[in-house]
Amino acid sequence: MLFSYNWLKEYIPNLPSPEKLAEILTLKAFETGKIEKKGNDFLLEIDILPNRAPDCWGYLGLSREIASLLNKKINETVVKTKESDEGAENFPGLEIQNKKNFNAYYLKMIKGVKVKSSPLWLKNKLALRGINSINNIVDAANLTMLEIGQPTHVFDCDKISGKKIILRQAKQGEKFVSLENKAYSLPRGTLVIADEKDILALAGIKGGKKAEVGEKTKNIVVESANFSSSLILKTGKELNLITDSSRRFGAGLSPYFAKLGLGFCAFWIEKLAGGEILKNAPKFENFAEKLPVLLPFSKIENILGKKISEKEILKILKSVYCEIKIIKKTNEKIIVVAPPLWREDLKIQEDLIEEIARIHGLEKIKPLPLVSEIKLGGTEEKNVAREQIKDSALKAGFNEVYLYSFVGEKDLNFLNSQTLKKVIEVKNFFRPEFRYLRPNLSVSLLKGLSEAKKYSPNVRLFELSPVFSKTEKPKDTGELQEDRLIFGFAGGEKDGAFFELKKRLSAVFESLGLFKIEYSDLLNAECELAKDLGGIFHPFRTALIKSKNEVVGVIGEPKEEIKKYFELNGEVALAEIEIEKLLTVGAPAKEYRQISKYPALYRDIALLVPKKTKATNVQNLIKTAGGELLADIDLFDIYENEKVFAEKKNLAFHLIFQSKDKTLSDKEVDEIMKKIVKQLETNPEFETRR
Amino acid sequence: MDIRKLEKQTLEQIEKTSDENGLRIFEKQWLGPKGKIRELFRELKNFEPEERKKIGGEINLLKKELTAALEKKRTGAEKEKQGFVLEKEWLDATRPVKPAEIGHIHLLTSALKDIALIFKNLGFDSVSGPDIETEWNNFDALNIPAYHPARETADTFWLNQMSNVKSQKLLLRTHTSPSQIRHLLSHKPPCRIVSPGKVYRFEAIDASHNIEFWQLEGLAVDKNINFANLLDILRTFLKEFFKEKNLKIRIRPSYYPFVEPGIDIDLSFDGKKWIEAAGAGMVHPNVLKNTKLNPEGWQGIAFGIGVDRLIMLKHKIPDIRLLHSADLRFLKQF
Repeated sequence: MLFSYNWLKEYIPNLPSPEKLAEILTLKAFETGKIEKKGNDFLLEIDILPNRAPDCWGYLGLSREIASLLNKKINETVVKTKESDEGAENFPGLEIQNKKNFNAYYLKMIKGVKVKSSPLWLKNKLALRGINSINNIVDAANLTMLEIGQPTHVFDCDKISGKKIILRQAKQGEKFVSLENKAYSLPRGTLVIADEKDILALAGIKGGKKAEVGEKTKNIVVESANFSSSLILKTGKELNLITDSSRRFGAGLSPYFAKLGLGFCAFWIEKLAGGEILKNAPKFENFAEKLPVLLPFSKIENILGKKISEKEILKILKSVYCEIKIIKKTNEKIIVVAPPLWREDLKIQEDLIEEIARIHGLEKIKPLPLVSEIKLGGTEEKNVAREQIKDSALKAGFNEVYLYSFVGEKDLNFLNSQTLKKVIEVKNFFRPEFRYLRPNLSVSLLKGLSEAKKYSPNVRLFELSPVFSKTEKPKDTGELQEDRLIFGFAGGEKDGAFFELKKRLSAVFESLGLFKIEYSDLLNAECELAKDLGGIFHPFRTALIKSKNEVVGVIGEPKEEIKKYFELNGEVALAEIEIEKLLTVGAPAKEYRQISKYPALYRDIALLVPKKTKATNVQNLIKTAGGELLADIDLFDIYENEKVFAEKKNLAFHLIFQSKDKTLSDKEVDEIMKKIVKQLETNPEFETRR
Repeated sequence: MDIRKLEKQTLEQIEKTSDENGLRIFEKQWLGPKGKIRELFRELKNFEPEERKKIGGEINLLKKELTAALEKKRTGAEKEKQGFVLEKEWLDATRPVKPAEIGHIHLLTSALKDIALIFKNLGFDSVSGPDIETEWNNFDALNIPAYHPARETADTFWLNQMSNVKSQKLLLRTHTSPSQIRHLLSHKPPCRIVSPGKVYRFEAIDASHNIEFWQLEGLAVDKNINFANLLDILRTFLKEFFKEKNLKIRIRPSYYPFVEPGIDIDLSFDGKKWIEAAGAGMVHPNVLKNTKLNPEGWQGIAFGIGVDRLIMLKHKIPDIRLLHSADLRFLKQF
């Protein structure tokens, strides 16, 4: 909030320079940023902390705070009004229908005011906060708000219907017309100030058109009150009507200000517009007296970890306007502290300890090593596993990203209706692109790939993050999310995106010690993950990833229309994995596998097989027939050429034979090769070529 | 027979020969089985025995000298040739290359790892909490009153009602502080924990604000833990994380409903421009009560560190949105 240096000087004439003042405020009370020179004044941007808004949003409160910090006293305006002998009996009376929501309500009746334009100094003061000058009466009320922090309101007495001002809660749909001539239909329970016919004002929020002070106004009622702050905030929210006044009440003004504000406002009206203040105006008070806080000296040291002298502590408490008394109770010296009426934030011992610490100087509290039993910090197992996965992804050449947890409606168009039902929606999303919590990582990674692809020909990304979906009767919100891992590739590799990704993914699994990963067709798969992601992936270029027969993920190329939607040209492949499953079915500690010291013998084998034959099946046949002397097998070529092979394709394997116990002879290996060929040729459609 | 003259002529001839071929011809002519040295020895028989001995010695010397001269000439030529050939194999070591493709771990991951390690050394356990929270965990338990402005839709992302969790309204956590509540409700103090996580705010997105960012919550509850301990832990952490001599730390009063006293910690390298890096304070007695602890018996310190801010400061990143980017031109820098 912007505060004028010169205005503060009215309270504290010998203030330090604006820069020095800003520094003191920042270190001891409120962060003070920009200082702007304006004519012969300076505007200070002071970030009043929320718990101090009730007193420090006003110049009086802020000046008191500054005076405490500088150990000075402030000049207070001497508010002195004369009251007429005439009583307010002929003016409207007060009726309160809902006492618990009204903490204080004070009125003053002023007869025979002269409404005119305000003097220049007042206009200028209001302009500092961007408030337009209306007339001397309204301006006096606004001045009160700026000085004291207390909103007040003035009604034209002659426009009030009937004989009563009524404080009540609105019925559902009651009508109210504001000063700006805007009509509102009120929700039930809104706190209102009404006459016997209409609503005159929304309590604590906005004045109404009906009893507006105009040029012809002669007799007025000045109102200063205190309302239930939560009810004011609630109404403000329901009507979407947040005003300077509602903000102040919402922050929790002390009822003490209501009386103070009334006197101040009446004082300025009398000064600026004349009139006669009538005595015996109605009032209502409904707030408990503040209880003193008992603060043992020992508690201060226990909390702060520093001993501040008793003398200094008492001096600080007095400087913030606390009244103090010291008592002794079972060998303990206790300060009985009565905080000032205007400090609603000083309620418990810790509140006072904060006052002592900051005014003493936070920088004077020496950091103290924690004396405690020595223990090593622990890490959740889940986090250790996450780190390992990330390391493996890094080694396999993937770049880590952290994408938004939100996705838009259009991004989810491709998902099936069952999956969409589980998607969690943000109630108050502020852009359609951020309307839902992502139910999978594929959608956001496709966005990521698209972004990266604009500047880089080959993109390999991975992310490890939670995805969100509704579950049946969750016991904890943790059940609404699940960690997933996604890998993505976009580019133009010769092998095709799928195999480029599979190659690197296999390296990740191997690095994690997961050697028994299998891939099987996605089509007609019954698992939840496959159904949820089915809409994204090409049905014939996608596979389930299985570990120990359990589905842990899906790998595949997205459908053409998906690539088009995400503006991805070229080849793209994704693999989305459920981490929880991967780790529970996951790897034991790696164990040494013997490295043979005997030489290996190599053979190649090629065979023609029908096009739709799965290479892994052929490889498994060779493995079984080859027995344990077949140490390794490597599919090194797949050749498809319709002109040469018609409906067939040629597969070529390197076979590596090696024994752990001896040097193999050519003859032994040839024998095994014969077995392999025989085994393969039991399938009439296979034709081995050597 | 003038051996001296021969010596001079032959050595000059070796000197003049420039190629291996010439040297080989000369070697054959002079030192070969039918060469001139052999011939000279054969001619010795025509001399008197005394003369023979003297001339024989001179011929032997000549043979040695020629062998040595040839050897010397040859190694010289070889070196020269080698130098010539190797030079042809020169490569331009200054030629720029494209670095081999490797993966890159995200700055957030490496920073969170560094941070967790520092706190681990300080005896803090690392725990995690969910992104979706109940209203009670995120606000009420943390002493944030109903109708507090922070609960307004203008600051918090509320979720559409689904099957309720403990009949609570659900939201995306606005800070990692609910981790304090979760931990204290399920563990007996004394305790020391840190809890990193993503948090969400309904905010206009710009270079220094995003709707999602990372925080690290810290909490320690013990019989006597105090404000000076809090300052020490934060200072130790910040010095260790930045490893920067010029780092200046400023503590100033602040307000969070769940701590009292409350502070903010600002950082600066030049002592002029300050950046808020963390909020902290002594755990508010109401928070202890809400987690079934007696504030007369227990004291707590708590802090929330803005991880994105620390990273931006340490690595001079000008825009918070870059941390959510998939652009390899950014990712590959770290």
